[in-house]
Amino acid sequence: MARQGERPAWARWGLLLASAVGVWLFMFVVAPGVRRVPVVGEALDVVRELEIDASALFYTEIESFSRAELMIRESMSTQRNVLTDDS
Amino acid sequence: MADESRKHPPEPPAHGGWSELLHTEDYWSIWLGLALIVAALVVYLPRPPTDLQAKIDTANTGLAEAEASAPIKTIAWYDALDAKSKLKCTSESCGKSLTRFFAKPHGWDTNPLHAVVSGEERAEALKAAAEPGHAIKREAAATAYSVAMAAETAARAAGFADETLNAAAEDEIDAWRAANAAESRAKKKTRVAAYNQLLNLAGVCMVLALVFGVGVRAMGGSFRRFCLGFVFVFAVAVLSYMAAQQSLMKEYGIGYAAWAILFGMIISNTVGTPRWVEPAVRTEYFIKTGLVLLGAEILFGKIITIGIPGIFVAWLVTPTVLIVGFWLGNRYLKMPSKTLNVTICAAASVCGVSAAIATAAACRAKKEELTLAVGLSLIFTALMMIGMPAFIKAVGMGEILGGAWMGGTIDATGAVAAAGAFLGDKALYTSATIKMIQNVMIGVVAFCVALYWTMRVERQAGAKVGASEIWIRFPKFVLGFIGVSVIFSIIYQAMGADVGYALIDHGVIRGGTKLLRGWMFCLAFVSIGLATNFRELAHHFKGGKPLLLYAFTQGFNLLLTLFIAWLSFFVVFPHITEKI
Repeated sequence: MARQGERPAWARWGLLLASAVGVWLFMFVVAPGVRRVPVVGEALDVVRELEIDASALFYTEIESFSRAELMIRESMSTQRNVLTDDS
Repeated sequence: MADESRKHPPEPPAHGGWSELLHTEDYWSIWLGLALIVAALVVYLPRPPTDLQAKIDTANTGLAEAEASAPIKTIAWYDALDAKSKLKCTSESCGKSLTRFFAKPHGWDTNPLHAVVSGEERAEALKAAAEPGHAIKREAAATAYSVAMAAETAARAAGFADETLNAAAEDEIDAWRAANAAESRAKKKTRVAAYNQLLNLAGVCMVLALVFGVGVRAMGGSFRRFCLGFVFVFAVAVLSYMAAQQSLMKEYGIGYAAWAILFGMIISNTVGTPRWVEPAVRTEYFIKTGLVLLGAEILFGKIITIGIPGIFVAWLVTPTVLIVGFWLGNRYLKMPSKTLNVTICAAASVCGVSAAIATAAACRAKKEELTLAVGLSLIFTALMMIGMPAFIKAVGMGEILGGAWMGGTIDATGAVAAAGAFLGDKALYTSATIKMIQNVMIGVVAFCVALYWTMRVERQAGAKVGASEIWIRFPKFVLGFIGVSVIFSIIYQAMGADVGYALIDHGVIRGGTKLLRGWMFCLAFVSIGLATNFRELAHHFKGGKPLLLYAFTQGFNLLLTLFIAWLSFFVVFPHITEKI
């Protein structure tokens, strides 16, 4: 396991605090700042509006994939019907 | 990952004896995964939605009638589709209760406490704030419906023989669908309720501690010491989920994987991981069990029913890019580690973090190597999620080609959904289909990588590897992963796509295995962070070779996917493309 035993306690806890501040700065200063860039803001507006989980790891975590799957499946089924009729 | 196992009670030598079945992490991940899957099957299969088959038949009749009456997708067609999509076990009381119990923390804006606790007063305030928006969207949906119905009636009056009227009807129906979806989302915001998730989280912690603790005890560890440390690991996992649920982080797609690694690393590299936590820092154990559960989500039959052009793109390009990337990494970039090489290539060519997890576990990559691959994947994903739709729009590429291109190249599944939605519904459908097919490939990739590592990479120079040797060395959990996938694929096929959708996809999986798998991966990433030293990580990044490898693999992926997508959707299968 990673251990920082060589540093004094105050330095270790200070580093932890500094890291927490860094996370806070990223979340509430840097990220909102970047969002103000037009091309970024435009894309993220869509994500917010459609309530998409942009961090999903797998298709089962996204509701819109489920709708897309059903839509494509039924569309293909229509296609199969058309092909069968043609033949 | 590989070196971590040395810090836990030694596993008996893997000679294939029966005792191995009860004393090794690989087998315990299979037993635990199977036990949880059986529990989910027992909960959901006897409780289908009321009159399931009758409602499916009605919806299918509606679809068939709509298809017979018009060459376009009419309002009646979509109504029948919507009726079918609502048939889910997760919408029943049992499904709702389980989903609520295992749910991750809620979303929040500025007050992190709202991730776990929200009072009546806040709920009422949120409802009141959402009402006016809902009223506007409801009105817009009603208007869009009237316009779409008028356009469809006009096209029908012309016997659907007038292409201009047909196109106008399709456009108006699409606009009604979009307005309808917006109204549904606005309606959901008016149904906010108060919640206190702290007790649920404590319950999830106890359930998972018990499940994993039993295995730890059987493998010779201390149940008590594991549970004690597990509380800490679980608390960091909850913090990671909370960070991922912050509204802006959700939009950027910075999920729990990134936060879990970061928080774990911050702790281990500042105050240090407490010694009493170490018995619960079990990266491989959590990942392998999570992967066995993930097997249930890999349904091979689905890819056949959802699109031949997508299969063409995903199954031709993805292995090609993986193999070419791996070859280049070895031959020209001289990557110092083959496991890092293949993990990065899998992340870049298949589907980001989930592929990296499966591949790293299959080839026994080091935890720092997985961290590096995940980090690179997240950076490229964020850039491509914003850059690709902007580029596609700028050059005027069509939605289907653009969607196929993004689905095959953007790593993270969630980012594909976001980028696809940015372009439009057709882009979303196409990109989603291709990404789902790629998701399904994870099992095959993990199996092939495990086999290749066993037979080629880990063998002695010049030595022949016999069948028994392969069996001894092969990571057994991969068999559990693949086995569960095959069993669920068979069950899904036997039930048929419609019943499978309601009982398996939106029951056993989304209401059970997926929820647990999410927690297990999060625990694994926290464990990776808690056991990772910044210096070791920097050592693996030396010379920037991982970045170069990722950039090349992704660049090649971009070119090949675009070409094959065009070939597939517009040259080989144009008649299918017309129907999307």
